[in-house]
Formats: sequence, C-alpha cells, structure tokens
Amino acid sequence: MGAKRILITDDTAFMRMTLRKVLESNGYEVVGEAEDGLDAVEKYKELRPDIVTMDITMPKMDGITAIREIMKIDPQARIIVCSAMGQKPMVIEALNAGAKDFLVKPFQPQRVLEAIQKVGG
Amino acid sequence: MTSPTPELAQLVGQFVDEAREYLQSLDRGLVQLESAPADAELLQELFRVVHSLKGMAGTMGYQAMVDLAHAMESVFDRLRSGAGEETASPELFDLLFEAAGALEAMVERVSQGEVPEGDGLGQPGGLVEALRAAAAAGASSEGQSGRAVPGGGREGSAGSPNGKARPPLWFLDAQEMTALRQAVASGARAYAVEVAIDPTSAFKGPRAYAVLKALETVGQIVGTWPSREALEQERFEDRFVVALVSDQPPQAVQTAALNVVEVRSADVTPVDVEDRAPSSGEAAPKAVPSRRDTSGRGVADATVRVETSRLDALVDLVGELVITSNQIQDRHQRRLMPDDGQIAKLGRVTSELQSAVMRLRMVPLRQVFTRFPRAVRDLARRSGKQVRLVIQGEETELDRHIVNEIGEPLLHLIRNAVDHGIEPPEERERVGKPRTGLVKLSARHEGSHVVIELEDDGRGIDVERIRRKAVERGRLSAEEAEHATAERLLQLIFEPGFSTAERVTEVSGRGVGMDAAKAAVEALGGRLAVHTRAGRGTLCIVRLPLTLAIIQALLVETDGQIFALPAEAIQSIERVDPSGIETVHGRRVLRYRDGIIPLVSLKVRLGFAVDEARTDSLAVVIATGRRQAAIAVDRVVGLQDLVIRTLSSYLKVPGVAGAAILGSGRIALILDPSWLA
Repeated sequence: MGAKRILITDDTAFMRMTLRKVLESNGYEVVGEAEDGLDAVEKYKELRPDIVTMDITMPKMDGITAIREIMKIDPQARIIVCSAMGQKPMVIEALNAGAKDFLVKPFQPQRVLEAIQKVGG
Repeated sequence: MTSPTPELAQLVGQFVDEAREYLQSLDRGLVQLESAPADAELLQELFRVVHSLKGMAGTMGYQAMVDLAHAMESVFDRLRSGAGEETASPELFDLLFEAAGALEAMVERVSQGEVPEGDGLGQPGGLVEALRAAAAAGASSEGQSGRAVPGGGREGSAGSPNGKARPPLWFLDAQEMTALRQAVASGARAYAVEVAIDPTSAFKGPRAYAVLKALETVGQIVGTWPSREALEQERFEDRFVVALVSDQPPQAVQTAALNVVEVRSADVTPVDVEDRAPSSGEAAPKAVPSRRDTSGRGVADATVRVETSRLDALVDLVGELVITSNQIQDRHQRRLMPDDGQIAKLGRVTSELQSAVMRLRMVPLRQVFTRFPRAVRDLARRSGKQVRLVIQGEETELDRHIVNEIGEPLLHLIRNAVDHGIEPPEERERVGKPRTGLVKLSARHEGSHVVIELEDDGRGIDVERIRRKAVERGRLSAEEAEHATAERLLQLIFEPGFSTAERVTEVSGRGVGMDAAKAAVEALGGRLAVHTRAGRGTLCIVRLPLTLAIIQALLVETDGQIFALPAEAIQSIERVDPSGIETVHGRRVLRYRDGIIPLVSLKVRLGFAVDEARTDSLAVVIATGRRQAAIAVDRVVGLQDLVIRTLSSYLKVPGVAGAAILGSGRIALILDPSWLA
C-alpha cells in the first residue's frame, strides 16, 4: 500500500504543524496545507490528495461549504472533519455534506492515525 | 387505607387505563423472562413496571396493591442482583404470574367503581409472604428495601442493549417489522448490528450518526435501539444496536461499521425474521408507558385517549348524518328538490366522513393477542408440554367490538391446539418432530375481512376417531359414517358436546369449546373453518368482517312493517306457490331444491298474527350454519347498507339484533337469522 497523500486544512499554523508532525512521523505524506476553505478547494483540484483533513470554522469559506464544493468536484473524496469541542451540531452537518468521518480537538495522535487508516480504506 | 379523596377519584379512570398497560407489559415481560431469567435489561424493565405500579397505587391509596407490587419488586431486585439462574424456578414464575393476576384483579375491581375500603381490594396476604420469602431466599440483606429505580427512565441508559437471551431485533415496532419482512421477502438479508464505541469518545452522538451513515452505504436501516433520536442526542452508553437489511454478506456490514473512527467492535448477527416474533409479541419495552413518556416525541404525542362512549356518540351522530343525507338524495331523486350539484357532494363527503369515523373504531388485534403468550405458557406448563407461540400480524385492525369479543373464541382454539394438538415432548421426539411444538397465530386483511389463522404442528384431529364416535353416539349410521368425507366428519366437532379427546383434562375440559367458539365467531358475522392433517397439525381459520357498524341487508315488508335481514344469510328469494307448501309433524314446510325446509311466517314468528297467513306470496330463504329456513313475507323492498343502532337493554327483544333508520325516516328492525331458522 503506497503512502497516503494528505491535504491538511486549518486556519491556524499551529494546528497544521501538529497534524503534519503526527502524520509524517507515521509515514504519511502531507502534500499540502490549506488556510481556509477556498484554499482547500483550489488545492484539492490541483493536488488530488487521497485524504483531506478539514477544520470547520475558517475565514473566506467555512469547512462545511468546502466539503460540499470538494464533493462536487470528486464524489469519491475522502474528507475527515476536525471539530472543536463546541461544534457538535456542525459535525452532523459535515457528515451530511459528505465528510467520511470526524475528529475532535484536541487531537490524540492515535485517533488521528485511526481515522486516516480507516478512511483511507 | 382510606377512600380516595374526590380529587383522586377523578383520577381513577386514568389510573385504571395506565395500570392495565403496565400489567400487560408485566405479563409479557414475565413470559419473556421465564426463558431468559438472567436478562438484566428485561429485569430492569420489569422492576420499573412494578415500581411504577406501586407508585400509582400509593398515590391512589390502594395499600394492598402497594404491598404486592413492592414484594414483586423485591423479587426482581433479587433476580437482578445476579441470582437469576439458580433462583428462577418454574415455581417462582408461577408465583410471579399469580401476583400479576392478583394485581390485575385489583385493578379490575377499581375499574368497576369499587372504591376500596379497608381491605376492600382483597387480601393478597399469602402471596406477599410467599414473594417475600422468594426474594429473601439466598439473599442476605438485599432485596427487601427495594432500591431506587435505576436508570430513572432515561432512554438508553438501560445499560447495554446486549440482551442476548431475547430475539436480536426485539426493539422493532410493528411497522418496522413489516418493513423488515418486506425487505427479506424481496431477497435482502436482515442483520442485528451491535456496535460498541470507545468509551472515551468525545462526541458519542455524532459518532453514532457516522456509524449509521456508514451502515447506510451497505444497506438500509430499519430501526435502532435506542431510537435514532436518542442516539443523536447521546442518550445511550457505549453500545447500540442497528437493525439493517442488506444484500451484502455480514463481513461487508461489519467492515463498514468498523471503518468508523472510535468504533471498537461491531457484531453482525444474521437474523431469521421469524426470530423476533416468538412470544415477544410487539416490542415489549416500547409498550411500557414510562418509556414512551420519556422519549420526547414518542407515540404519546401522536395519539389521543378518548372515552369510548364519546366515540360511540360520534358514530351514532355520523349515522344520523348519513341517514339525513340519504333522505335528501332520496327526495332529489323523486324530484321533490332541485339540485345545484351540492347534493351529490353532500353524499360524497358524508360517506367519506362515515368511513373516517369507522376507522376511529378500529383497534389493533394486539390488544387481545397480547394475552396469549401468557396463556400458552400456562397451558404448556400445566400439560407438561413445550410450546413456542409465534404471533404475526398483530397490528391488523378491526372494529373495537369485534376485537373485544374475539378473545374468548381464540383462546378456546389455542387451548385445543396446546392441549389436544401438540404432543408431549417424548412423543414428538419419537415421531421425529422437534420437542418444542409450534403454535402460530397470524392475522391479515383480506378485502373487507380480516383472516385470523391458528396453526399448530401437533398430531392433528383424528378423523377416524370422529367416525367411530359418530356411530357410537348414534350421530351417524354405520353406513353414513363409512362414506362420510373427512370434511363432513370434521364438521361434527362443531356440534355441542361432541369431543374426541380421550382424556378429560383440566385445560380443555370435555371439548366443549369448538361449538362455543364457532357460535361466538358467527355471532360476530364471521366464519370458522378447521383443516387438519393426521400427524402434521391443525389449521383453524377465522374470517371476520372489519366492522359491525354497517351491514348490507335485505329489507322485507310484512303487515306494513319493514324488517331487515343480514345479506350474508340470504340464499334466495322464492315465489311461494300454495301447492308447494306441505305440513310435516304439524309444521309447514316448503319444497326447496332437492329437499324441504321449514316455512316460517314472519308475522307469526314475531307474534303479530296467530294464524298461518295464507296470503304470504314470497319467501326469503336464509341459511345460518347448517340450518335453512324460508321466511314468508308480504313484500321484498330491496338491498341496502344500514347503520346498525343497538337497542338499549330494556328494548332487547329475542330475535332482534338491532334497528336502523331508513332513508325514508322509517325504522327497520334488524332480525337475527339464527333465531329465525
């Protein structure tokens, strides 16, 4: 199984870095980082990653809208939503929009890896 | 104990209604528990039921009920604390059933307005003592106190849904079951998927939701336990069960569930659809009122309790409206009234209103079926047999009156099936059948009728024995008996006092019952047929009309008075030729087809005239059961749908089944054909 190519989406550099560390130290390739939803949609078209992690609250375009846009481009897209504790209702909305699964911040590394493995198929 | 205060007295009706629901759950739960005495969830449910009953009875001041419920509670508590297997003897269940029966008797007494005074409820003294002893047996200090209700009624907090002993999809309601069966019938497989998610999961609700979404990619979700709402609102522990229909193999279903983050296990159990039906009847826990009350948008909000007297008043009023509408249309047809199109509309709306109101009178058969698991359990235990009761179609609806009346005859048939049909386990084994006999009760709609079937896989009815017995009793001559078909011989069991049971048992007595059952079914306008195969079993088919409120009847006139004869009894209308009338044993008879049948003059039979009228020119031939008669009348008016009005008790006349108001405003008495023939 080839290493999964992952696109990280989050508006804070700290979170992007945290995720990148966890993923790369476990043999995954982070092919790009997006800072908002719009950026994520553009990068998805360009990079065609295997998996996208998606923050919910972001400037320019929120995560849920971005999920819908990406699903339009690629109905097979595998997106994992990253939610903060207070965003429970948004998670269901994200799942309905097409997200395959979700993670809750603060991230526990094992959960992140579990999600990547399971969603990656 | 004191009489309830006036304020409390107002609550009596409500108390009785709710207590009955609890008692049904209790009965059903006990039957289930007997086969799964360690089922923690079921025990908790039963504990909660008696606890609720205790609380209600306490509020009403019925101390005897409180004592009894409390004693039962202690027993459940004892069983729950892990003594399940060893303590749960058949004797203990006899005791629990007896206590449930005593509670029921108390509630019935309350319902009859017997405001209990002193020990007016009767003393269950010995029972309470026996229950206490059972609760104390082997239990050191626990039990007696009756701990606070665990779980407090929060749906899903009932702990693990992992009730291994009960059917895997016990939680589905009738509608969901129907959907499941349909899917299975069209080739899908049914699965119970039990999912455990990580106890540390932060968002259990969305997690469950993600699992449901994942399962929806491989199949279709029929129902969940706890409910979907409960899951999404996180009202569950770490486990839940999904009823799924899918064309995928179990592994694919499991993979789909396991591929969701934080899912720790997913047990996929293929379900034989028959699995759920046995004795559980409906989804038992859903019938417990407390659960319904707490589930937010449950059944409670979708239904309204209405006093039956109000419903009957509504039916009567709509009946009046139908008649008035018919009168208006009648006048229009006779050109006494102009029509601008509104009259036809009135007729249409009225008949729609009428059928809507009739539907209000319909109740599901569940109301009577729910008694049977308990009855079968008791019968089987008393006769030392092993019997599994499968119930299907309990959601089938019928007129309330018919549902109320059909219980007894069905119980007769069930008794016969268990007592005479199903063989003892050893005998079954000898003939290569499973030790446990199967009794299947099913109901379904068929046009304007409901068909109820009761099937057993027992020894069948011994037709040869009927043949011998018919000769012994002089019912048939030796020659008649020899040539009689099996069908003809089977008819004999419907005759009073004719029984083939070799032993007179406590259960079915002397085989009275078949004739009584048939008479009761026919009194409801229904039919009862029996088919049997030696060694294979017996099938009883009960066919009932959907409603008794409207009948099609033939209107006849005699002496200027109009009478109605139910259409299903009518065979033909004959012109009476005086030369065709003969007298046999002093009674007038009419030659009809190949034989002779009694000729009954309606006016003589009803006492209007003493003389045999010579002017009778027409006869309506009626048949009920195996009897026929020709009813002599002056004139035949025609067929019409009638709304039956029952006569108040001081107007009850033998032979008169009710009255109807005709379009012309005249009143017709509806005659009972079985009284005429």
